[in-house]
Amino acid sequence: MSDTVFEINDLVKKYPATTAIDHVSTTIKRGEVVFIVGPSGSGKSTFLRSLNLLELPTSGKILFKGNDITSSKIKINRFRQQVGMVFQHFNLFPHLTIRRNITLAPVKTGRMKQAEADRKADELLERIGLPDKRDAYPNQLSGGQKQRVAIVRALAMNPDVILFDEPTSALDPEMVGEVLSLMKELANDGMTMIVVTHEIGFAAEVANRIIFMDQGKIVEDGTPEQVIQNSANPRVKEFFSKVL
Amino acid sequence: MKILFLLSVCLSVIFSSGCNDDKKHRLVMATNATFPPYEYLADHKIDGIDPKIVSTIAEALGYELEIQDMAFDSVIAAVQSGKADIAASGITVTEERKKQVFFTVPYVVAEQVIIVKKESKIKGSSDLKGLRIGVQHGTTGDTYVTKNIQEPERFNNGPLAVAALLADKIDAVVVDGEPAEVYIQQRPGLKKLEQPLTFEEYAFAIGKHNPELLKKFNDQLMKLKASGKLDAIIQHYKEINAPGNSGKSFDNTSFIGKFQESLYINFFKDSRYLYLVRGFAVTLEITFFAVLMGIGIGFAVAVIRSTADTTGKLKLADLLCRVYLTVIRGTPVVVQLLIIYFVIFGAVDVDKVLVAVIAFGINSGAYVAEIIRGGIASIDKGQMEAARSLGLGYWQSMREIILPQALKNVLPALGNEFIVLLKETSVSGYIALADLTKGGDIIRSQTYDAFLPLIAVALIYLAVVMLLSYLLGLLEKRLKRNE
Repeated sequence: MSDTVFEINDLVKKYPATTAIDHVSTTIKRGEVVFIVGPSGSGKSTFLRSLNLLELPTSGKILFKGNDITSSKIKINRFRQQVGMVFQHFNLFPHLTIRRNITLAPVKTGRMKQAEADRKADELLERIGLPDKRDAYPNQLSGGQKQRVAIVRALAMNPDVILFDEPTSALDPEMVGEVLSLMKELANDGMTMIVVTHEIGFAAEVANRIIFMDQGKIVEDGTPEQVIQNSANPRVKEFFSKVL
Repeated sequence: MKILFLLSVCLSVIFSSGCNDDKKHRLVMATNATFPPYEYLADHKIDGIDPKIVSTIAEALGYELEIQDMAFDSVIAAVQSGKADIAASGITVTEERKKQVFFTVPYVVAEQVIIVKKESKIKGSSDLKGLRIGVQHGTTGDTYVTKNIQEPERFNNGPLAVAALLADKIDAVVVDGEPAEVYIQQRPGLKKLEQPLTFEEYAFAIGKHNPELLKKFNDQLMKLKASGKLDAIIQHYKEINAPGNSGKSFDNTSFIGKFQESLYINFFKDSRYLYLVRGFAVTLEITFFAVLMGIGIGFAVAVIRSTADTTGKLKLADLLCRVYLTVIRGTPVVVQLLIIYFVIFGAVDVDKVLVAVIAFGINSGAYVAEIIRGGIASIDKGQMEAARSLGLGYWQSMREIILPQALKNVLPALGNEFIVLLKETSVSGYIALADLTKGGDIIRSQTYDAFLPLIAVALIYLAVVMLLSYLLGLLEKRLKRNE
């Protein structure tokens, strides 16, 4: 098995008025914790969303474990089952209980039987300290609790990689910590993660690689130390001087 | 052996001719049973002078009689097209009609008379010009007034015209003399003018393709006349239709006594309440199945339209759905019902309840579709993205995530649509379906009383709608518990 999870070649995403992703190429390896940072409108969210084809690329190739997922032959649902996603606004299913939120996909995609999925959900809820919430509905939870449930919902599919799209941006400040510590835990367990965030301090602490995007391009790519402290690029320097 | 053979030949001849007889010997009579004493519904059976004469002759000729009740303006067409063998509905002989059908010898000479309220200043036909004149649509009175006086107000049946006269909606009614006697005796506020508007002869109509039946029928009719039986039949029905007592005595002076009598006549005499009970069952049946069909169509159309809107797929299906929505929402439901009955199912004999279910189901589907589409559009697009990102397919996500939430959001609007549908089925009477509203109409046509039957019908609809609203409220509360 290859150690490469994603190999992105010359990816372009154009909208009628703008170019959101402008010829981006990079590789994501198994076990890497990659943070994508940059100013608003730099294309980082669009880039992340095109990795599981929520945005369809205009041109270029994305290889997932060696298979071209932009090809029309790819079974898109099977591919997505291997890539978890955590959204800024959680996107839990409000009409289902917390446990059903977690077990729906594993059961409906035929990966697990209901009983097995229920056991796994209970385990995951235990792990995030919310076992008593399994029969509650999403609207009965706080924002931080919702996002942690959303993370274990993605985990329940045993994905190869999890994409995080600004996972703490919609949270009250006092709830950010609980979500970050769960993410840190996952990173320490060796989960491959790609995270779009504005939490630069957290990125510096957890990431083993930071990609800085600006105007649809990757302008810096390296370890936190290289990118945050030692970049020669004036745009990068200016950005970090403002946010840190 | 030979004898056995002969016997079997004989038997087969007898049986086969027996079969033929069975088919040949059915006589279908077309009538419009709202014309006492000639034809009317009594105890849910059609009775009167015409049915009695025709059945007497049919029996003498060895026919089995089948009576079909239809609108008066259809009875001539029915014998022309061969759907019926004979039309017996107090039909006046006219030159125009003679061109279309054969007439038997006349069995009654009748007059068209003018009925007015007792206090009316109308003295004769010369006073009618410029006033509001009511007639029964398609009758001789209609033709005569239209031709010789002016455009009349055309009602579906005589009792409706009389009810309109009583309510001062019109100034005079032109009807046949015989039923006029019944009307004025049952309604003390009315009188018949001495001078008839015109004379006319009643005869039975037979299709031009059937001269043998005409001859046979005329022979029998002459015999009946000669024997005095014909007059006896006519006299008998005039007598039993003469207003006597309602079968019970009520205190006519007090309000309560009058109300009790009215209640008795409208609902209990001749088990008339059964018209409402059966009509109500028909209304519920139509509504229930139309709702199911509407939900089915509505869901399918809503999902196709939403999918086309968000993904750009299903272009052709989307176009068809748009045409469907435009046509159905752009035309009245009555017109749709009539088109489905007379045009689409025009050539086939199909159950009327089924026609109504299809018409109202298709109609409701269009409104349900737009309600559900609105519900789908109201769901945050992050819900679909989350479901897809977990590897669920598009249709799976629709079914498991989007539709359950959409449905919950639109439940009040859907409930409202079903309440509207229940009430809309009241136009089923247009295709002669005896639903609740039509049941009230039938009682009205027999008692000439508009108040109680209409109020009863209205109260029944109201009760059902209130019950439905209450149940929907409970359901909404239950669904809200999840939030």
